[in-house]
Amino acid sequence: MTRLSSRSLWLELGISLALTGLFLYAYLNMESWVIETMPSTISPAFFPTLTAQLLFWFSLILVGVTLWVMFYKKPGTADNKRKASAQTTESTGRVFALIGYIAIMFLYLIGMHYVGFVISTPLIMLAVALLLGIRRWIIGFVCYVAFTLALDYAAFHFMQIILPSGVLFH
Amino acid sequence: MIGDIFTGLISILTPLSIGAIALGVFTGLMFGAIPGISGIMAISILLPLTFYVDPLVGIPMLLGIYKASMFGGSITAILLNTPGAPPAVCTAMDGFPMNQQGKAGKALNAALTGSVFGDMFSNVLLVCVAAPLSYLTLKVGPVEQCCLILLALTVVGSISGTSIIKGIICSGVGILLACVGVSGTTGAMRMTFGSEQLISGIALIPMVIGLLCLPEIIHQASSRITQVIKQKLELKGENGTLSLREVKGFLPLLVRSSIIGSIIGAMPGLGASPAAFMAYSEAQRTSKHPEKFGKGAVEGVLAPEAANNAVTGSAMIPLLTLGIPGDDVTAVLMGAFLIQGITPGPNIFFENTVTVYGIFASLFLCDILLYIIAKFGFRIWIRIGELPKHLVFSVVTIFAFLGTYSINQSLFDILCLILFGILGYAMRRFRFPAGPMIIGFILGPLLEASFDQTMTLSDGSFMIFLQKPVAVVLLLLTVAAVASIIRARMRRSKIAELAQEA
Repeated sequence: MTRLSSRSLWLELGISLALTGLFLYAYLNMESWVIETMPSTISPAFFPTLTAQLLFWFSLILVGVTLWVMFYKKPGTADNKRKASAQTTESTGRVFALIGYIAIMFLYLIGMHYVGFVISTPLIMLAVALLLGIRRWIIGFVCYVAFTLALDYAAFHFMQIILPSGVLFH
Repeated sequence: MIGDIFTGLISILTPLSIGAIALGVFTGLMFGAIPGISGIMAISILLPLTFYVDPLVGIPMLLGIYKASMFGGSITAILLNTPGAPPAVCTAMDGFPMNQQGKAGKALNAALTGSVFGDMFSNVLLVCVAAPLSYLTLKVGPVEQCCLILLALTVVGSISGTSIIKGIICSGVGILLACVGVSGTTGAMRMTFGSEQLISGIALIPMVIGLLCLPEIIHQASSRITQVIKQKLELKGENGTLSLREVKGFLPLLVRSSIIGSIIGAMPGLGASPAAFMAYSEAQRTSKHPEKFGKGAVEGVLAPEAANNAVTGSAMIPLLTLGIPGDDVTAVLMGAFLIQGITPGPNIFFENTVTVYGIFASLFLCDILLYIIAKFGFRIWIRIGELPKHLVFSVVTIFAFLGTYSINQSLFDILCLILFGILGYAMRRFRFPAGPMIIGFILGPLLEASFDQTMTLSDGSFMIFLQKPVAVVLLLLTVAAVASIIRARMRRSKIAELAQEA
């Protein structure tokens, strides 16, 4: 087994163990997470508790399956697809793009809250476009501003949606 | 029934409905033609829009996207050898060689003819089968409904991808997430953790867009799409069109492929890809020139296209009559029905007769508009397919956020969208399927409501499930479905292991 596929298996084991712990915790605490308002034949905690319990057992099976794959499958036969996908997905560029895009999404949320839709949207569009390799960014930015204004107008006049105007301007 | 069909037809012939279908078809073709963007992304982005319009405007629009994106996937398959959607893989096998021979126009026309024929065929089947089937399922009470939803949940086994356990875990998480907020039956507050926003529960839209759309954008943002080759397209003459005489000659093939697609589509969990492959291999088996397959045979384009589009109509049979979504697209469509206050299932034909027959009529209208819009816009779809990635994905990102915000006009939904986007990407990275989670999220509350009603009827006794013959049959079917899925998976993994060892 290559280093990468073995790493993926360890990651999968970690995820399945974390899930097992999480579902066990949910199962044990479900009763306290439910606030009953009126008496009923079946407790309102019954359904989520049962689901959490089933999830715990299935994630435990997943731990077992992952361990079985780790220790009993022959090297090379375990998962060629996994190896291939691991090799293609582990590039540095991918990690950078992933972190970059997630950061942009959170910035957009913060931007919408503080400065509103009209100001934050063209900036975010430009950030996404830069991440994806835009060259003529000035022309792009002008188009994004026009697109944002059109969208804001359409949302308000056709769908009666009031887009955030930003708490800083209130 | 004839009267209902006419009522439905009249109700859909409004400028708004026709315009919505045309918009849906246009969007579906556009999203299908852009490599890396799928029809389900378009459906999830436009799903919030249906909240603001009549069911006979919003749902037909989504159906238009569904049908058009299925064909749209074949445009890139033929021109770039890059299937826009998995079912178009077969189309690429003969469509791209046709393109290399200078017959791209003929291949596109064949794909469109096959798609529209398959669509029409399955629509007729849907109209003929769904309504009578609903009469049979009319006597479904809460006990039977509970068993029916359990049967519907077995679809998770078929759409779980490589690991059935991961699929089950995902659907369970979906059910658990659906429990958040005030319980619809008891009024109890569950898993709100003192948060005011969580009292009304987690909305479907951020979840659907977050799990289906954002991971795809993240994936595309971090991978390089191959450079698009500029196409020279001939749409006239023998190499550019498919004559009526040729179509007549291929009629038995089209019917056969449409039957295959319709049967597979009506079975929950199988989807369009197996239908396309089966129709392709059947076309090759029955062809007079099987050696031409893979080298640019028109039948190799017609058959898979007819089959994969036939799936779209027949996939609505289990959805509308039993409330069983067969795959992630129909699960999202079920969400669209629920947003409109319509619960797909046995009673839909009696509670929402006009709406259902209006939707049936819209399916036919979708096909007509698909043929017209696609036929006269081949050059446009090619240009759209050449759009730069930075433009497409920046616009899609904004639409995803705007669509999510528009439902409750709340930034909390946006936060949910981002969190589901990250979760969706992690799930994609570690091969946890998103479809079962959405199915669990949609079916969970329905299962709980029917289970609560059953328990109230029986005063808490589980024996009620064994006292109703229909419920017993449905439970046996559930057990049989689980056994069959496990058997099929074990056989498949054994074959894969043997192949690897070989």
